[in-house]
Amino acid sequence: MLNRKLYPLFWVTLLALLVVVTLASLAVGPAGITIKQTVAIIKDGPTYQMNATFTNAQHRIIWSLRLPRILTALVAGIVLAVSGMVYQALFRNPMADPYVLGISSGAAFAVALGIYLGLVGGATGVYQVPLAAFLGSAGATWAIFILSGGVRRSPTMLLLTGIALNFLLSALMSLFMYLNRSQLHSIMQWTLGSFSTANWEKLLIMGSISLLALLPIGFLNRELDILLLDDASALSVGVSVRTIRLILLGLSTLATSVTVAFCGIIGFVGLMVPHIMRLIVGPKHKNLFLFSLLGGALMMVTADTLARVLMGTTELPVGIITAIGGAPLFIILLVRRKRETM
Amino acid sequence: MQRIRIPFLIIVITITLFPLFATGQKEAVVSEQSPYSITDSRGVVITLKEAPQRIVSLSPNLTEILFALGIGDKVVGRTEYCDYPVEASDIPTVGDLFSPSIEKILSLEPDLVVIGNLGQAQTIDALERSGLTVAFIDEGETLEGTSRLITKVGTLTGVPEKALEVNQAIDDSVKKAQSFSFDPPTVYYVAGFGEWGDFTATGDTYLHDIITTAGAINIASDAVNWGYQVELILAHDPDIIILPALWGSTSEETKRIFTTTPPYNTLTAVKEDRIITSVENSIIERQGPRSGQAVLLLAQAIANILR
Repeated sequence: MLNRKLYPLFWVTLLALLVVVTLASLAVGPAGITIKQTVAIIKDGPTYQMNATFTNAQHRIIWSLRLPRILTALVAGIVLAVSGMVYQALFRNPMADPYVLGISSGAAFAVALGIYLGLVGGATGVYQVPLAAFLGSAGATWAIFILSGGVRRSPTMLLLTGIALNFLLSALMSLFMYLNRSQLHSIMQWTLGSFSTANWEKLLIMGSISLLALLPIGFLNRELDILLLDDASALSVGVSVRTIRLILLGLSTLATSVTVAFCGIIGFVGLMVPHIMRLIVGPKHKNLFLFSLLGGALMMVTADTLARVLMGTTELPVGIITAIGGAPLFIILLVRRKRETM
Repeated sequence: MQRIRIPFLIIVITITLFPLFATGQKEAVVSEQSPYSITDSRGVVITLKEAPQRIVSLSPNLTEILFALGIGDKVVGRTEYCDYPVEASDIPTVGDLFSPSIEKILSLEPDLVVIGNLGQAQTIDALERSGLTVAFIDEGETLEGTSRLITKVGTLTGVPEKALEVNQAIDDSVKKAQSFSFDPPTVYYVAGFGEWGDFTATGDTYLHDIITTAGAINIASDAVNWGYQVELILAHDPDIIILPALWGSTSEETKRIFTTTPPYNTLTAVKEDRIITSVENSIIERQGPRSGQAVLLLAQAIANILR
């Protein structure tokens, strides 16, 4: 763990790094726009004015592709990392991630079913897939919640029901994929997650809903700390555990569902970023919230930029990068902590 | 340990591979006596004693070729994707391209199974182990490869003259296509867009060869393996978009969505409605007797737009 006095410095460093990475990633991509041109395009503002430095197409690439895309990655990173942190506290379980309550499998199942039924076709309107995915997520989470007895019973019950229903939905998704094998590649592409279809309109919808849902969580730090205690101790502090659980669960589920609906299923960030930050700044949620937020954003923007540039003319699914890059980092931190405590 | 392992590995590999070489040589000797013989695309010599009477085709383009060669009546089994010509639909299917039913194929008692570039090694292996004669025919994803494909199928099935005719017809169509005179426009072929990712006829595909032969410049010629990035489409801003109907949609629906979805709606070709939707997928995608027609249709459509 880091020295407590260094937290503000570390936070500012992370923030500065995020700003630098975000700006740098604006200038990289397969279309080969120079840094000088990028700066000029940004200065030019969102509407193109005829000039000698850059073309209309280059202006569009920066303003209507890269910028909304990078910001979408940034928001998704924040949402997944913060939701992951909340879920881990709610379930008092380090293996919990934003997808334990069926958000990912529900979304993937609904999209696969939609394709099978012909409701979601190859040439799909902008909002058909997000809508199917969101309905799937919401339906799955609701089913898990009802079946497990909700917040009245122990969080373990909720977690186990979630795991079981996740298996069922994944199997059903596989079934529909199998029955419709010519479209296997399409659904596969979607489940691996991508920001390639990001635009301002989608960002506005996704960003406003999910960030508004996350905002109250920033003010529930103390309650999150208390949730880590057992229910009896929590009650003695004067907190209604059930109400708090319900609020936190609802908010983070909403934020994650909206993000998954627009970006697909991006793994790892929600599981690992809170853990990595916990190893650095400790388990207090006041710190953890602020650091997870920045860590998630930084990791996602970096991963998406790599996804865009690593393979040249093709792009990689971002979920592959987050896992390949994040897992070793996490293992290094774990090993180092083990040495410290020994 | 290391010292023991390497010679051991060599022995194992030799034993495993030996039967492959052995069968290849044995059949090569027989081949000199039979006209129904080819070296298939694996390098295996396939020899039939007489013209095949019961053929199972595991590829849509091979089915089309067999019909074009005038021996469609000899085809006793096909895949679900073999939908052209219409008569093909009356033939029993044996499953899809990737995992056809071996049992079903065996029950049809074919004397020849032909399988194309999407055929899986495990399928071929299972069929050969069951004692069937399997010809794997994939001669490269170009128009030239298509001609070789037709020649091989024609030779093996005993109708080499007919194969020559089919190839001649393809050549004629290509020549006709190339007689249209226009400045080569830049084009982008839409194989997938939007939520499912951007996919196109990259430089290593058969479609790329069709587009180039039709007299256009493919903006994705430097890309490989179907993948492309949307910002490159914007950067190139192609003169013409080729947009076949995507799965589950009609061509009108596909066009409507493509032209209203950002960022594709900002492309100059979309704004000026220079979009080709008329070329049917199965004509343009399959390496077969209609390949010449594909080039001709595409060249015609381009000429119409540029007129």
